Amino acid sequence: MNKISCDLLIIGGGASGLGAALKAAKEGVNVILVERLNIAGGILNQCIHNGFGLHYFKKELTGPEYAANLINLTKDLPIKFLFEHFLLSIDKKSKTVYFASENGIVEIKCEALVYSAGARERPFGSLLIPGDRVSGIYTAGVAQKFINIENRIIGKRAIILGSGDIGLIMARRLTLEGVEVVAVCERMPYPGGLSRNINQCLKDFGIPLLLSTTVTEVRGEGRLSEVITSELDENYNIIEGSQRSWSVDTLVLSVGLVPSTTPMMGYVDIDLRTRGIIVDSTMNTSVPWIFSSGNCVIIYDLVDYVTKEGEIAGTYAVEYIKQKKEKKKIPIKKGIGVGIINCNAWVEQTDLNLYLRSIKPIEKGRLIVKSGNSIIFEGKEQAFIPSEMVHKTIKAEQIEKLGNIDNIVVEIV
Amino acid sequence: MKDVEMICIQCPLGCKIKVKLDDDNKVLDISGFTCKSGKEYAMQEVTDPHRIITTSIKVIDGKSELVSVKTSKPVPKRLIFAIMDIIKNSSIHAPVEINQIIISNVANSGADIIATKAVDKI
Repeated sequence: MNKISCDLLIIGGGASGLGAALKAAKEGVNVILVERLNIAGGILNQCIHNGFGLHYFKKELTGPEYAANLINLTKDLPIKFLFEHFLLSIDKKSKTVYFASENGIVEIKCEALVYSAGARERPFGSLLIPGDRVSGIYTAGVAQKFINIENRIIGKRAIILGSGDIGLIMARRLTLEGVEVVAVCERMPYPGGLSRNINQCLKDFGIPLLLSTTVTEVRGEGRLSEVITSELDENYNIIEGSQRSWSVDTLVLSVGLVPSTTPMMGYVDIDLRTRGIIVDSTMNTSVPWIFSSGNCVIIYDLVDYVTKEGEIAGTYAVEYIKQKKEKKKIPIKKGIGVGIINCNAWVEQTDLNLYLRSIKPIEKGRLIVKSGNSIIFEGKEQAFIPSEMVHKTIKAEQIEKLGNIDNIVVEIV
Repeated sequence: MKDVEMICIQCPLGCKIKVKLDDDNKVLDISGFTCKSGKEYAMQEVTDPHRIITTSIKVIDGKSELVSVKTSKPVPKRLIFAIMDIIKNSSIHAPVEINQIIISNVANSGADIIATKAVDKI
């Protein structure tokens, strides 16, 4: 067996793992970054559209450009990349992680671990849509990989289910490549993606967006030939008589991402509802030497956030390697109006980076961070919609000036 | 006089911009933008909307079959499909460097088609 060791081991060479590697290597620890594919950059490599990097690189980049810029920053730093290695198991006691590779099992002993394995797409099977089991049904990411990387066209006439950003981007991409997109359906009464993408991906090409509408049956022999959609009432029940038939050979699903945490189950605490890894404000998991960042924690809107969170994981993993000191953690509780939130606890002396989504569209509300009756932060009145993530950084001093507190509550009121 | 409302596409913030136009479609007032680039976008959008096109071009003898590309600057929206046709009928020999110009002044738009990733030769 191939045995190696390092200070910091990072699993995942995407936008977050690279951010963690950058920060850690700059602090002088030696880093091994393990990636399952043969290149770094993760999903950015197939996201050939622009709109990335405005926060992190202060300019608008395409996905491959963002990845190339990030990889460039890792040059000349003590980072060893191991490609085509896949996580098998972790021995918590000896801090040893096992990987499968072309050359057999690889055993890596480390002082700290950052797990940044991203997310996976929710598959067709999980939607329980009745009908024939036919070819021609793709998740948006798979369709994107076929078109942008493998040079394959996926069909002639398509309908898209789900108005998340990936679905909207694929509507435009398919149109540019000569596939007719008949509609984008969204089961919620409001769109799932960013407003700019509704504008530049659908309106630009006259593609209709059907809200409160979902796919209720797929039909075909061998290949998909017909999709039935139905309108939904406010309780998400099908409105009888609203069925519509679409003659299409392709159905593209953009129905959400699920944090990729299966290999970590049993090792660290995982949120059973979102399946994300539970972390505190230092991106530390329930295990002191294991950190986690990126879409395996919570699904972010912007890749820039994902890299930033990776940097936090890298920074505090190094602090752990150097000091191994336990710090006090104050739990963060989700108050009214908040759907999902990261992180789960504030660690003393650290800045608190809150990322959250409202539970439903709120026309006028304020973000409030408090402990008991003491307000830590009160935001300006603004509109909230679940599809647009809210990010707020609260400085350590702002929380410390309250003295001893038992919990922090975040709410939108 | 008429009001045009739009969602800015310059960044993911998605500001709602209002443009007041007179009867000859001259801009009287722009409001709701939060940066310079948003104001410019709104001006352009009511006169002649422009977009950056991102797509891919076939690579010959490359480690991958395609190289991702973009227009070096926004091009008129009305030229999108003409430019896509030119790109579909083009190819490039590997190796390709990131930022390499693959087609210059595509469809006389003043924009070049440039590579957004590197592709090595087989």
